[in-house]
Amino acid sequence: MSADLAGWLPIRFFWRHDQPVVDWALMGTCRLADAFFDETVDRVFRNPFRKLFRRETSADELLNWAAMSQGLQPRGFIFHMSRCGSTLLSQMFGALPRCRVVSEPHALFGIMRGQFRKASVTPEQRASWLKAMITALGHPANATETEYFVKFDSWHCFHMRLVHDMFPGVARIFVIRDPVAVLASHMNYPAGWITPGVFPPALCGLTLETSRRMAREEYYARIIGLICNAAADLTEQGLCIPIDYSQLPALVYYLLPRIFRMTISEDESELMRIRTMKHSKLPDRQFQGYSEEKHRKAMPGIYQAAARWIEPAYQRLRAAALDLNSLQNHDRELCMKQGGQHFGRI
Amino acid sequence: MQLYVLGKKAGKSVEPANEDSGSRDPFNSFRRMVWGSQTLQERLSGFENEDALIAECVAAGREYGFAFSAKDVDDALRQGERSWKERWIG
Repeated sequence: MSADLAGWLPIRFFWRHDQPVVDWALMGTCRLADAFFDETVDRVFRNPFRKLFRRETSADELLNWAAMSQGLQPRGFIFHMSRCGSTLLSQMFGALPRCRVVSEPHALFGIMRGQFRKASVTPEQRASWLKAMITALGHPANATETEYFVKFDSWHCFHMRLVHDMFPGVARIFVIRDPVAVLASHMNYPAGWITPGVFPPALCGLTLETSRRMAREEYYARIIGLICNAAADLTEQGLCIPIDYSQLPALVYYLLPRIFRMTISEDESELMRIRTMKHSKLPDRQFQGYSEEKHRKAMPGIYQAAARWIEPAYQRLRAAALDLNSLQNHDRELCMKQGGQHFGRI
Repeated sequence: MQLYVLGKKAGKSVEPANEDSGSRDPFNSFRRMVWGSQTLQERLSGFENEDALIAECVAAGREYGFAFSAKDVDDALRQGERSWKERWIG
């Protein structure tokens, strides 16, 4: 008989003795209000009871639970090239009480990476685990949560087709930004996933050793370039819609009703506008606006690395990106009225 | 009601969250009981202090016939902490 996992959410998917294991935490009615899912888990674990009374199940139990339980159907999927405004975008969605936003949960990381750690994992297994994991993460914290969004890690873009096949009717966007700014951000504060050894080196045709020896800017640029290239291919196949940082947050007021088919009220628009005034990842701080600081701090090498490894794919994405100027007057005016303060101008 | 030998065998991993190994480890068995008991969850979930929670776990365990030590609970707590912190290398 399947375990009753009501109130529990999967927080890790990992391997022990060649068997996939799912680690669950009792989250109860805790809303996923933090910028990232794992930060909410950290917050929940401040309660020692929740940290102590975790449970582990097999992957089959995850499949059973997803099949028998009633989670929310995803409303939209957010992919991105990293350091590009996707966190603020997801936080704007999360500012609405009816939106459940699961942002870059580690549990998905384990499944996405599975094929590189376990050659025996079949595409069918990975697909079924992925679908079950997204379903299990979609259990609402309360009756108010009715809309469900998932923000993936940037390199999960390589698995976007799989996500599409599992959830074919769900809209997918890919957020982009000037490659030099993205690269500069990683040079100053590298993301955990981009560390050699964490990111599967085989994905970029490197060995662990060569990736560790390479200049950081080149290594980061190669990975981000590959992510953008994959996204550009998927865009050209009609599988996702690129969104440029320079059009945020205004474009959110088009995205929600027109792409994700979710009508928003005036009050909800206001909630999102208020959220844009705070820093995306440090919401207790006011957003100070985009400065040139990142560029100034950047090493000259990043311009060359960005141009060589990222720029070609970025330009393909940019050419296909949604553009405020190409929207119908009514939509454009609404966007400018609600969110006309672009990041660069706040 | 079941009664278990105090402590755990030398060298045995304390991975009490594993549902498959529940019957072999007294604290793990107690933990399984807590998962299914609203009463025990309410009794234990209010503690903000780890030492107080550990002491209450040992006391509650004894009441229900599970013999495990404070160290067993503390080991389980540390193991859980470690597995979460080190999730990127798992």
